[in-house]
Amino acid sequence: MFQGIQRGDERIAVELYHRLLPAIEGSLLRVLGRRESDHEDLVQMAFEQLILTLSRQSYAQACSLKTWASSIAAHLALKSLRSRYRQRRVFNSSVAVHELAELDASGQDLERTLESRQSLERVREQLAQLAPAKAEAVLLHDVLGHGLTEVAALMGSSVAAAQTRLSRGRRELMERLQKLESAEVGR
Amino acid sequence: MNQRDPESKAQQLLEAWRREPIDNSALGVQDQQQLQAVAKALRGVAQSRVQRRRWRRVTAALAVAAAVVGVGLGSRMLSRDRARIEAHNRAATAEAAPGALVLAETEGVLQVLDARGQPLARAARLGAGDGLETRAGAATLTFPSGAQVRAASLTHLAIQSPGLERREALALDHGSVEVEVPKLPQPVEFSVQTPDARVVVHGTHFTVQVDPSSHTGTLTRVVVERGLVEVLAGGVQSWVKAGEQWPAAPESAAVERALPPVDTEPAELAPAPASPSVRRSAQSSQRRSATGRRALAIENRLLAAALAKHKAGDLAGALQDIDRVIEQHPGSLLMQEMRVERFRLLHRLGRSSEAAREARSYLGDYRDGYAREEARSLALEQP
Repeated sequence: MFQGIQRGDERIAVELYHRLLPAIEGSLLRVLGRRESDHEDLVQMAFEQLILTLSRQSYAQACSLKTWASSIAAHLALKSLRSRYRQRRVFNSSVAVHELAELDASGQDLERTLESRQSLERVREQLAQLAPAKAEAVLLHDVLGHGLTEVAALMGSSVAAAQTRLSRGRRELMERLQKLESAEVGR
Repeated sequence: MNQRDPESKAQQLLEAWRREPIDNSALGVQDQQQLQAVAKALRGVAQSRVQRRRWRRVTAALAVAAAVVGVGLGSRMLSRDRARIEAHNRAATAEAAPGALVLAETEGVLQVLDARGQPLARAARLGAGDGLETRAGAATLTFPSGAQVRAASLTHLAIQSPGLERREALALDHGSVEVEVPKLPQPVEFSVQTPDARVVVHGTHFTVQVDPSSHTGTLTRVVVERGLVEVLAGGVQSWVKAGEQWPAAPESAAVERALPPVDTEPAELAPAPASPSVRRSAQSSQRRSATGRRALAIENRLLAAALAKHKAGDLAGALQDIDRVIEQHPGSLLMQEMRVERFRLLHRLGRSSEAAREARSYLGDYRDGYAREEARSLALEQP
């Protein structure tokens, strides 16, 4: 496959696309929560980065190609989250009208669903503001469910360093959320 | 307050994120335009590769021409004072070739990393801050002075100075390096920085080892085979001659034994408090934290050794190692990884019913573990 990539063999492109599209899209949707307007762009960027890392042989091969692709997508999704919050385009604290209708029709507890969505949006917002390495460790382990050794291989670090990033990331995330909560209560 | 509380709360929230329903309806639906864009990216990568290769050929031709001119000039200078010029040239090479380090030999599993920890190709030219992490592999790094550093498996090192300002230096975080340094002209020096010592040489053969599980009170061990080495640790300078080692004799293991049980998390160190009792407690917490890191490093190393055996085809040996780590480190942070590795090994060894039992037990303990699908399919194989 590596030789095919270096030759620019289009059959490899087709195979990569078929095999890895679900993993890349799944990862983007899991991190971002929904299909956004730039979804197609993010998918394409993920494939471009994937091809680039494979051609440079910087794919560590310590994990499956699917996991590697999913981590690239998660990295891009995190960057996208960060830039959105930086631009203060908080996109998910409200729910679209058609979604409200869907929720109503499905008989779900509307109030509870909205609350949990808002709470998850806060988690996303605060995670996006953590240092990238910590945020990525938390995303890969706690949100995407990769094991610690996989996270270490994906981040190109030792397992001990990955564990430290994960642990500090979780703590900092919680501190930020608690600060936000007490600021809201004080208002 | 318990350090773990905020962490567990964060984990609960992140668990909710992980379980958040997402719209799977359009997942994996292929788009012809997107596929074409991927194919285009692939063609682009191949084309730029061809261009790079052409550019390298041109650069190589220029380098050969420059070398011919250099050799001509060099031979004239050599006639004046051969010894002096040789020394000067070596020092000048060290100065003129920053970022010019390459791995001379590599074997097995290892990663070359840039200063930000991102992976690089094995053939990449390495500069200050770049590093190397060997797992079940080894590598040799050659410095401009001719100094050769062989990193053993499970070693992490970073290049501090690749020959700038007549200084060649590397930092050894953990693991072991064997160093062969040719006679260096003054003031060129070669040094290895470890977490608790600096080893400086001017021409010798020695080994530096950083062992987080050391019972000697220091993490670093230096063994000198030839020449003379200077070790600076804790503000004390020691000279180690050929055939000697540093520290000279193992100190009491009491320090290690006196430490409290292993911390589950490598915590951040607190700033030094004012009162003696609080300072003592901070020191004890620092020691606990260091012990936690050491324990994790040991578990990490044992797991890596088992994985290396698995990779090399020694399945029974790998299983034995895993069982030993599980038994000796029941509270390990790497327990999930070890349990996964265990059912994989049992399955590969053809011990299907044991593999299924282990997979079921894994699912009981890690309902949402990262290997849950694999465990489920194994568990179903043998009802």
